[in-house]
Amino acid sequence: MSSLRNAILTRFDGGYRTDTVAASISTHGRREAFLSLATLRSSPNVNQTVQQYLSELGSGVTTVTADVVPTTLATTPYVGQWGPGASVTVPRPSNSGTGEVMQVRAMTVSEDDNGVLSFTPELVREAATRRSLVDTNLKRLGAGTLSGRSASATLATDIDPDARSGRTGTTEATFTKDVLEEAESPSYAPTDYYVIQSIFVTLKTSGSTNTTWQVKVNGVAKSFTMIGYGSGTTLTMGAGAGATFGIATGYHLVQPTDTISVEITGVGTNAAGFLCRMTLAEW
Amino acid sequence: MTTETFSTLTGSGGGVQFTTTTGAVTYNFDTLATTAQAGSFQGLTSTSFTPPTMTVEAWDAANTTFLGTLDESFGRRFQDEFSGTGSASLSMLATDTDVSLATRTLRWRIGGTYAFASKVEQRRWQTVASGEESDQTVTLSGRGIIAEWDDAVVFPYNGIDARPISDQRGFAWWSPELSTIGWPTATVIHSGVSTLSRLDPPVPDPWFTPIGYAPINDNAGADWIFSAFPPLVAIGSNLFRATFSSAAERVSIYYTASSRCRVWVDGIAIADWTTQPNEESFVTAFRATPYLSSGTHYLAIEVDVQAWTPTLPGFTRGILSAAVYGGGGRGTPYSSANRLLGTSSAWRCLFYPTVFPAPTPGKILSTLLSEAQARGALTGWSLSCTDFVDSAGQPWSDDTAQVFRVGDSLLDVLNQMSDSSIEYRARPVGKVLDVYRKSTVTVATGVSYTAGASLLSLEEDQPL
Repeated sequence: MSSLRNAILTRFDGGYRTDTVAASISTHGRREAFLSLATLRSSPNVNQTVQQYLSELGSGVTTVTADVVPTTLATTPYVGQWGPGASVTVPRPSNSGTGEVMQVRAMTVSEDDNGVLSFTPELVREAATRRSLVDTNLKRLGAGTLSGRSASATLATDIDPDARSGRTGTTEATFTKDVLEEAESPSYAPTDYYVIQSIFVTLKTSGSTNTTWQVKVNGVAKSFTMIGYGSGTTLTMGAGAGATFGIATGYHLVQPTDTISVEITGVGTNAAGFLCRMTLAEW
Repeated sequence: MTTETFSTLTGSGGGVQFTTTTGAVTYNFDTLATTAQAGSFQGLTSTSFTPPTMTVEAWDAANTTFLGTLDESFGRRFQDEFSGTGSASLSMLATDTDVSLATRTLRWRIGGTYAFASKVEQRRWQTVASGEESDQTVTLSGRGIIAEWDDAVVFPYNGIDARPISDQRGFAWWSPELSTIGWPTATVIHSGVSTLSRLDPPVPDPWFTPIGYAPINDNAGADWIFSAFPPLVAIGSNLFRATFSSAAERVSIYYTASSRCRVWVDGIAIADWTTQPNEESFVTAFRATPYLSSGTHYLAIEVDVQAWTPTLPGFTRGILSAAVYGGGGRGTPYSSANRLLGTSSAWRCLFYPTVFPAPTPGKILSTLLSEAQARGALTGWSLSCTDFVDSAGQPWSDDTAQVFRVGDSLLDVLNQMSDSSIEYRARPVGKVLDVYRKSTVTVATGVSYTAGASLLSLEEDQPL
């Protein structure tokens, strides 16, 4: 299997990306591979890793297996105080026998019937060991695993199935009255435990005098603060107030056995088009 | 046999160099017959190189007690891998009394140097030729002793009774194993959430109580914070961490962000992104309700800041508001009395980090090893690296997150980590694991092999 790769499809914790080496593609044609960086999310980390792979794979990774015959103690594995992980120089047939420093990835030592030892190191060019046995990893990727030798690599942590999360549950209760009169609205019955979190009030047509009203829970007027207009159980929209007003609630709690209603206690002159919308938040 | 007179002696293992009356001479020997001392010395082979021989020793399971030498073994072979388990095998006559010694650990020596240690995992009896006197051999084989890391598995953070629960064990910026010592503290942009509810324009204050934020009378409980001041609203992620304590109970974590965020507790994701990319979250409150075991918990929130369109001139932008409440629940309101944590200047944060930090490989391995040993597994094993430097004394990188499945063996862990951040190798003596920062292991030996002299054969694959 050729180890040359010049186009890498990468899966990281943010999606897919492709990176290529144009010069290598021009010379050797496009050679694709897949790389999982499942646990990396930030772009600098991913960039750095992908570029390292490409720099090593763009010209191929050479693995050399040698049968060596130690001629001195220093060149004898282990006895010479070196073994797997160390670097030795071996001639490269593909480069007219020029010696190249390579790293020992594995050392096989076997003994024949006469007690003579043979040493067979598996060597990889040092540069390639930055991503250790890339060739091997790609073979394993080809065999279906997601991240080199990692049978268990995952894209991201899964979410605790016991922890529900999401937008907080809210509901709205709306009270409208086009033609105002001093009366109490029909009741709204909440279906869950709620906090009356906010109230928006609009008069479609503002009056020349004040309009007053109350929000009642189980028939009892509750105290609220109305921006710019003070607080109390009776809320006042002043003369000419026709825009939308927000009301900071007193965090009144309601539950399924309660009822909510709005009573208009004073109608401003020529005021019309009353809209009251409550936002209820689950608790 | 030669006799030399020497004055100094250096070297180790099978090669010893003497400075003699005629200069430096290297000798080789298998057994030192006489205590080395200055003066005349006998019992050495000549200066000509004698290839070393192999010996195999039987040791106990702990690899600390010598049991005997397997002198009569044959067919001996081992493969010593860097970042792998390796393997070994040998054969003995079934009648060899040493067979009973070789039950747990084998140490392999080349010359006088310990090279490799393997486990006896398989004993295979084979009849060579029935009727002959020595008709049975026993072949002992097994992986390197690092294979013992297959005997311990990854447990959930804080053990099996810990909550929240996950099938995964992550080591990343959001996990408890990453210390936030040295992280800057957060900047409070708006102290407490506004007491006012959201209004339609004109907007007096955008940092209102998010819609759905249900805790009562606790507007001061959670500040709108940023990771720096003055706020630089760039596109990217800011990381926030804080700790809190709770009883064993279900808690409510209220959170919202500008633009969006996601939440971990104790390294376990409990809430995914609040919104899609390029959507704002801060109008509404979000809530996660994990059940927690009692004790200290680590809350981590990643805030993804996107361009704010349309901008709201004149307003300083906070990007995170969050609070944790316990002791409440359906029918019992949350209030300041049962607030366990709220965003504040005590939170730790990273301001648009270019690299997300993660626990070092040394920290990950020491954590998992100590947990395993607390359960009684991997007895006797130790790491020669620390949380801060590898076994060669090089500082660890701290930019590679690792996520394992609960139940993965620690050998799986080593193999997964060796894909991205480490190299490892077990020492043949004792149970010590050397772990190195990947890509930095360069043990130059000066050893050079020459075709036709020291090379029997050379196979090179065709990379193209």
